Amino acid sequence: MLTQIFNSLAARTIIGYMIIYGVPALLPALFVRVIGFKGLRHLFSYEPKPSIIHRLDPRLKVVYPVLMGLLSVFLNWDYVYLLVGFALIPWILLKPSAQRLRVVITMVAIPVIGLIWSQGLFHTIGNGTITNPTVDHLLYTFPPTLSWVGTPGLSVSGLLFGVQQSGRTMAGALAALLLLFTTTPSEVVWAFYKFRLPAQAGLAFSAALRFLPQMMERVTVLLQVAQVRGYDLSIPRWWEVRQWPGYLWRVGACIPVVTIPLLIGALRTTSVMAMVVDARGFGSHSRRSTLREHQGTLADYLALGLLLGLTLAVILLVALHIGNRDIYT
Amino acid sequence: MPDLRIDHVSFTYAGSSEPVLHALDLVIPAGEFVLLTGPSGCGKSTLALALAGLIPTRIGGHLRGSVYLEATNISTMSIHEVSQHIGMVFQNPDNQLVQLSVEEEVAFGPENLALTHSEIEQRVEQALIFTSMAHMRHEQIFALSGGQKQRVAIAATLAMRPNILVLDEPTSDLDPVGTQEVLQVLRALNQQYGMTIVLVEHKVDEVIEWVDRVLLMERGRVVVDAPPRQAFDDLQRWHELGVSVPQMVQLAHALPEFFPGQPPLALEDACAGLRGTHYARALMQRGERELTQLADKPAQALPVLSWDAVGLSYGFKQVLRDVNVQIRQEEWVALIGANGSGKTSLASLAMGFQEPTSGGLRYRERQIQAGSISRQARDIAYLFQAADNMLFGATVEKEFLFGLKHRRKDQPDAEALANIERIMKIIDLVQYRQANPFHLSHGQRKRLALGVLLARNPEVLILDEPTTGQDEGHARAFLEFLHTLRTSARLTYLMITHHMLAVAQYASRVVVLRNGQVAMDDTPARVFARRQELAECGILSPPVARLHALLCEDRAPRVALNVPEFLRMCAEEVTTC
Repeated sequence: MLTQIFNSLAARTIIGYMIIYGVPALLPALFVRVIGFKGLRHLFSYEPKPSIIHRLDPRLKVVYPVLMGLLSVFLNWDYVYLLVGFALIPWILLKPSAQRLRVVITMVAIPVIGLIWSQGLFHTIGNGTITNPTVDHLLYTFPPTLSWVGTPGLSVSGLLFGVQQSGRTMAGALAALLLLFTTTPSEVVWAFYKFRLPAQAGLAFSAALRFLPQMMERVTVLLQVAQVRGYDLSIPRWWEVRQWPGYLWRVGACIPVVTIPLLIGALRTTSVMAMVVDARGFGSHSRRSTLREHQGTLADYLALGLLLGLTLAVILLVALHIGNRDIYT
Repeated sequence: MPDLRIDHVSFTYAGSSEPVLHALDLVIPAGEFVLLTGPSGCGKSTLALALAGLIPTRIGGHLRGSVYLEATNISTMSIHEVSQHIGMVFQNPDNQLVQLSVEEEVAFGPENLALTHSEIEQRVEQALIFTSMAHMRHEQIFALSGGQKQRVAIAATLAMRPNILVLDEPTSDLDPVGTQEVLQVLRALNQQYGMTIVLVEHKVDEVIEWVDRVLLMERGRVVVDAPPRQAFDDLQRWHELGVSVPQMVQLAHALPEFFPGQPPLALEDACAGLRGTHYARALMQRGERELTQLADKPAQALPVLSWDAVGLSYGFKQVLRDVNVQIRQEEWVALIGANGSGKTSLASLAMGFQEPTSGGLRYRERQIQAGSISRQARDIAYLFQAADNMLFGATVEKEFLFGLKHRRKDQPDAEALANIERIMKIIDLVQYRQANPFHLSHGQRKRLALGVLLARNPEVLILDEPTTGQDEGHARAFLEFLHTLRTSARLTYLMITHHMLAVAQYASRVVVLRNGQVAMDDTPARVFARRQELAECGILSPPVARLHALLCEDRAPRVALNVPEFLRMCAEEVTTC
């Protein structure tokens, strides 16, 4: 009886929809749950610590995410996971606080889960080829009512492919977050200047990071204001089925309500900041000096050596056709 | 050091037809400490921006006339050149700090000028010494208090080596301790280093004793330009403009026999003038008599809002600990304390913005649920500090309809609409029904923000710094409006504030927080009598209350809260004797 119900077209359609939308809907909820609105202010902000990673040459830290992103593109998936292992070493040396660790895990895990799920749904060629896919690998086959989605179902081989591909996301995210958590705005500006990149780009980048926590706080205040004004954002209980459509509509309608004052506030802040930066002579001279000129240390040379060694190793792996990618990896 | 000369300066903002500055002519000699004050919208900030060379290069509009630094017209100089002669400090420190550590922030300007390493080092060190921030050189900016941040902003400006410092309400977001920190730095810069200071400020009482010259502005013109002791000769003018007159000056005008010649500006001067007089003896006698009297009978009304053994912590940081406070019906409770003492956290728990780590909160007998803000808003309203953040609608009417539209449908529309009509009449905005909220005056916008909260018929109103950024006249008008509203609608208020004159004038009870704990809870007259304890909590009571306490050698159990009360208490006692 139960089997019959589950095999009915209606039940299979409902299950299919749950598979398609379940994970994408859960990911933002998971993000808010783990990070929370208060945690958003720590999302991309510098964490002062007397660590060896903090003391490294900022130029190395600016180059590092770019290099990791590039190397991960050329390697096949099993070697990419070696690269992920390499990207974990600085984090072990850094020993971030529990709060930042939660941010790192969330920022790495959520895109990875999303990637695996999307590949599970849409990378559905199984053991066959793109032109002649097989269906024996499907974990769940979608009923004809879901044919508009453009996928036959949830594929085991697709999920595996997602796991393989997610190594690249992890390597890039781990490297980028390391830069954000251990480099101050002035170090970023200095590194940009040393690379002969426009100092304005460095300032824009670092100012964005500097003001992100403030912006998050402003969002929190605006959401509180809306609720104080009677805008009901309290989540109905799961059995209050009739309340849910209204709640979802209010959440959607809240976006412009919050966005416009946020934008106006950001523009006002930026206007004052621009005047201050101009008044401090930013961009007035083609040259720029620094109070703290980074002096190369043994750690810098070691880190540089490691990065060069890694790059060389990847070039060799690719050149010798050991670690290079084929069409599926 | 060069003089600053304003030569026939007029300025009209882009898109406006009315000039904000009208043919101003002024000379500010080197080394002068100038207080620039006046009602909101009189052109003070615009003049400050023009002095700093930010008008018209960074602020759009039409400028006529010129500002000269000695013989050089500053409009011919680039911003970074001007900033090496005239430094500008803005109101909100968070908007003007672009780096993460104190040292990096101060070094940012000299680095941009491509100075040598030793020159940058010297400038950073000196600027930090000038602002008494040398010991915090390696601190992270986010870990600093508001006063410390503003001192870093001043240090960063000083590192550009200006001779003139223009400050636009640098203390408006600061608590009394932060305000004093900043003002003392300015005084030192002026007295010890001979720097010219132009300070735009509403807090006349706190700064008047240090300035050399007072400029009072009205509608783009300077209407009073005099040394501080002569600036208040015509008190009526100051009252008409709604700009606060120092309490010591008010007292001197009321008791001319004790202050012949010139009025006192400092508390100590006033104290010296009154010490040993029959007024001082009368106050002393009154104080001693009151010491033997019983304390005021506690209020009997039922509590509407209760914090029961409430604790709140963020990670390892304990923000509130074991707080027990009850607010009774129709009370006006002022919540005061230094920045970071837990005032806003305490109030926000009542609204359900967050959950206490320990203890609980009740509205009457009902537990307050964290997160159910819109439900709480039926009984408790929260007026945010920046009331402009509370307005979302295109017209006044739509502002009211906003809450109605997005609420859960538990009240008939007709009833809610009728209620809105009633509130619009109360806040006196019926004629502005179709006006854009941002075309209203500041006071009207504040009333509108309050009105939309009242549309939900709350019983308790939490007011977060309701007078910040307003001149004395507008602040007083808004507080009077709140007072009338409370009486007519039988509302209960909890007001978070640094404005001690407002506390003295309107609050029926004061709760003082110190490091997340309740340090005092009593009537304003009794709390302000505890001068030294208040200082430890980062609070400065109103000057007249401090004068009363000083004259009674801190033995009076309660003090006068304003000048008329001070005079009345003296007169009553003299008559009795």
